[in-house]
Amino acid sequence: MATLESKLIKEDVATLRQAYQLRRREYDALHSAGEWAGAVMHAGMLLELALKIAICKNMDAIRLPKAFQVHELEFLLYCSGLEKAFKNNANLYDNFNLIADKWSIDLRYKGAAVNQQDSDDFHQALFDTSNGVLTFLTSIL
Amino acid sequence: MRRLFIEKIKKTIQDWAAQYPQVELYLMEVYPSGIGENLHVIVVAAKGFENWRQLAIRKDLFTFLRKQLGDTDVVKISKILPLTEEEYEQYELTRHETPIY
Repeated sequence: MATLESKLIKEDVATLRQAYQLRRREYDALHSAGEWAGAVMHAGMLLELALKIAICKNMDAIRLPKAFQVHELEFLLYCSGLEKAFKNNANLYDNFNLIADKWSIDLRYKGAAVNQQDSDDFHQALFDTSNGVLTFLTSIL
Repeated sequence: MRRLFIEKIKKTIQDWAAQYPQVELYLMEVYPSGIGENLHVIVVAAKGFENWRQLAIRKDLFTFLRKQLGDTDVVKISKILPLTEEEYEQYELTRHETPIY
C-alpha cells in the first residue's frame, strides 16, 4: 500500500514560494528581453505555481498532494477555494480566464506561437494594479 | 434552466457577430466544463477571424457578453475560444487527447 509520504510532492510550500520568486525573476527577464513566447510560457507557470500555493494554504498543508500536480488552471482555481472570490470581481475573473483560455503547458513544445501583443495582454491580466490575477493572489498568499 | 441559459448565450453570440459584416459564423459550442457550474464556449467562424487576433476577439466577445448578460451570468463562462475553421479542425484532432504532463 502506498504511504502518505508518496502521495505528496517532495517540495514544501516554502520551497514553492522560493520557486515562485525565481520564476518571477525569469519572467521579468524574458519579458524585458522581448522573448514573448518564453514570457507567456512563464506567465502561465507563475499563475500555476501561485494557485498551487493557494491550494496548500486552503488545505492548511505544508506539502501539495500529488493529485494537484496538474497544469489545468481552471481546475487549480476551483481547488484553491478562491473561485468565488474571483467570480465576485468580473474584471479579475476575466483576467484569469484570458490566461486560462490561451495558456497551456503544451506551449513549451511550440515555437513562436505568440506575439508581443499576446504577451502584453498576459502581462496586463497578471499584473494590472487593480485587477491583475497575480496582484490579487500575491496580496493574500 | 441551464439549457435556456446556453440558448441565450448562443443568441447573444449571434448578435455579437451580426455587428461585424466580415464575420460569418460556422458553428458554436456551449457546454459544461465539468468544473462547478462553469461553461465553455467555442465560436468558429467560416470567415472574419483570420486577420483578427484571437485574444482581441475573445476580449471583444467577452465585453459584449458581459454587457448583454450582466456580471452574474457572464462569470459562468470560464472559457471563450474563438477559432477559424482551420484552427477548429486542428483543435478537433487533439481535444480529447490526454494532456502530457
